[in-house]
Amino acid sequence: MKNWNIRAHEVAYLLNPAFCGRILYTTIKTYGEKTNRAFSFPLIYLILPLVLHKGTRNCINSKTQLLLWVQRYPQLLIDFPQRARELIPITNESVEFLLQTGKVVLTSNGELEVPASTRSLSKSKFVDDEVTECIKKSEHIARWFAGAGKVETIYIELGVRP
Amino acid sequence: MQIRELVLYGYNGKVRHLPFLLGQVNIITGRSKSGKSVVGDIIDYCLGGDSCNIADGVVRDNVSWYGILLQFDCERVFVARKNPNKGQQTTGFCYIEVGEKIEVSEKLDFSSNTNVDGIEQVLTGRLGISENLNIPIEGQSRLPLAANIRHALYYCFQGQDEIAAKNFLFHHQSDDFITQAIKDTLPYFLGVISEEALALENERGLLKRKLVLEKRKLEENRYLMGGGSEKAISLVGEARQVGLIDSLTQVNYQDYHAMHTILQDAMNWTPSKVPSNSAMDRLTFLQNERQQVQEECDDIGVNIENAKKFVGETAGYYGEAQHQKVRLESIGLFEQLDFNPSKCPLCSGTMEQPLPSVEMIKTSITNLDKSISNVTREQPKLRSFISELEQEREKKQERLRAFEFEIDGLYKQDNDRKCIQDLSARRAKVVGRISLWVESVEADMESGKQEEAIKKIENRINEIDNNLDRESVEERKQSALSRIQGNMTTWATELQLEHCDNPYRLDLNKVTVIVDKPERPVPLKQLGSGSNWVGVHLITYFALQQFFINIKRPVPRFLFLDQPSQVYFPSELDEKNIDWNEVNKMYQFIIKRTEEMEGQLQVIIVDHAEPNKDKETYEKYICENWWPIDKNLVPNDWYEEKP
Repeated sequence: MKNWNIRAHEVAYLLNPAFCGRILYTTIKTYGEKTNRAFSFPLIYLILPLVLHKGTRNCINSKTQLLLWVQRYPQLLIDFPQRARELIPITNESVEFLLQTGKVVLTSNGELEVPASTRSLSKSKFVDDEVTECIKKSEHIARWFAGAGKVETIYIELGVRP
Repeated sequence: MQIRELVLYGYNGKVRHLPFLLGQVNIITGRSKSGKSVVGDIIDYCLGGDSCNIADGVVRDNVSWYGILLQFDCERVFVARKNPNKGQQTTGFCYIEVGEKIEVSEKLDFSSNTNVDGIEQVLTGRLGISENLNIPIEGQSRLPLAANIRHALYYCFQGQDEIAAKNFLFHHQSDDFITQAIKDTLPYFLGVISEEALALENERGLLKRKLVLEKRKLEENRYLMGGGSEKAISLVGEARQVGLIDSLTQVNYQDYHAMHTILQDAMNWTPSKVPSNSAMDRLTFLQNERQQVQEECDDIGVNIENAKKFVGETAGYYGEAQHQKVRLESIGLFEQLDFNPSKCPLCSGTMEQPLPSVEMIKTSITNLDKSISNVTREQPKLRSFISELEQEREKKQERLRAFEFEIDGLYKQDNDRKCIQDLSARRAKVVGRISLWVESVEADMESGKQEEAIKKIENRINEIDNNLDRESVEERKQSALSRIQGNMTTWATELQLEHCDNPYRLDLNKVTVIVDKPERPVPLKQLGSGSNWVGVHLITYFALQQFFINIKRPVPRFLFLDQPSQVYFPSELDEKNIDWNEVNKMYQFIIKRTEEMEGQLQVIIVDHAEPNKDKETYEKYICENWWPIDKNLVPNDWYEEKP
């Protein structure tokens, strides 16, 4: 990840750690509410490539289970592995940001969770339509992961491995 | 695909395992009402299908989830399906898990993550059934049918009432419409339909449209080309009249080429200048539009390439012997995160004291990779998406050509407008007529090329027609069936079936087996004796499985046989009348055929025959013995009252 002063403007402004961290935070929080378990670390790299891609984001709907949704829209996964690879540094930075601000903690098992004691982040401050939609869709993704079974199953269905 | 294990999860929280050995004969022997036939129904239920055929009774009352662990070439799949609640006919709650070396869950710690359609699609894809479609001939009213795993399973089961039936040969054939479905899908499984059939159908559709357009253009060209010399002569006359050709110039009306040259020179006349008009604005607009459509066209081209690469179509491996298995793609976690013991994985900074939670991050990623790195991905169904894109690209290319025609026309029009004055107008008119004629004569070269292009398209369409031709498919089908017939006849002799000195063959029009006696062909239902019927069912199923295995067709590699020895037991208690020789002969046949396949075929038999005679021979094949009163499919302590 390049230094802040030599980073491209689009990357710095549109993919900044606060925005991306807000998305990851929503997913981790909703997942915890649905399953009462902490969020498995490898899954964190699959969230941004789904939410930030406009075409995919429009089709996300947790009313359909993840495995059935993948069978219905196979064309959306055509360049999913490349997008995931390129977003890894951004994801790393966002996770670090969340850990530094204490909004998310690392459990002894290496999983992520939102501590119950902190105040939750507002969904309506500092947002516009697109940001609100990103936050809503990351909740959908959390419900998907909660009902889809093991981490292995989710990776295999999306056609990727670490 | 073979079966590693069946597992039942009870409402009481207990678990019953039923493991099988791969690649060989597995026998479950037991008294009546111990649950033998239910095993087959459970396997069928877990592999999809809308209804639950598991009979009412102990099993339905005590089991909450059924599970099956399947073994594929590179991975295992665990499928579980919920038992329908009391009063319900069926349920759609299913669970699926994939991994290289997974085992069944020790307890019911999973919940539904997919439905029956999802299971059928996953199994169809992993089995290797490519996108296919059987389109009935014109005039028949049924819809096109795509073969999936449910159709493949017709060749894997023989129920208790099916294995000795004389009126029906295949599993479920007594249900409505199944006979027609078998006729429609068996050609695909026999491999007589090319794997590329669907792609070729789409190509043929596109080419036919193109052919119509090209032919129309050729017609228009020919129409414009009006005559040769006669036209030239009349044009020379007009040109003389308006002064384009000097009246003193000698013209040889017999020399076509001389007239052609004179007329071409006449076209070089230019009138006085006239201010240009606003056609230029339209021109700029058209050129911008053209540029945009060209870019859109290029974009679609890129998308098509990416989609084809994703499906694996570009490698060109569609041969019968090789189904391209696509691997999972790595997202590069091991390259981009630091896995050294003293470094932080996220920022690569050095940690003086490595924290256990941070080490756990690296461990969880490493473990995940170990368990899925060799698993394959199902081939996604992108045919309709790709053909939509190809059609869109065709349409855009037509628009491009239309734009280019219009742009050329505008240039010409603009040139022409500059010539408007009185004499200029008349001269211009004549020049116009001359130029049209000259063009159409020159375009004669074009029509030669066009005819060539049309011929090429027609040839390609013929090629595709041959490939998809119904007659050649019929020929290939007959060739496959005659190969199967060889085995069936040999084995009929081995089992000493009735009329076994004559050929036994599988007839797909009547979907039954026919013995070709010299006087007349005899179908299965006119053969006598139950032992013959069972023998015919066995030789058919083993011949089909051997055929599928040898040419690597996507059919599950197991056979489930329910009570093949029933015809030798006139009544359960009548021990003296049992013809043990015959039973032995049949079992030896089954064991020999399975061993010939060297581990590629798995056979599961449930039977009534108690293995007291020849205990040593069969002992190694018996995996469950339910003759003792306390041994059943569902363990007694699940439902018996405690004293």
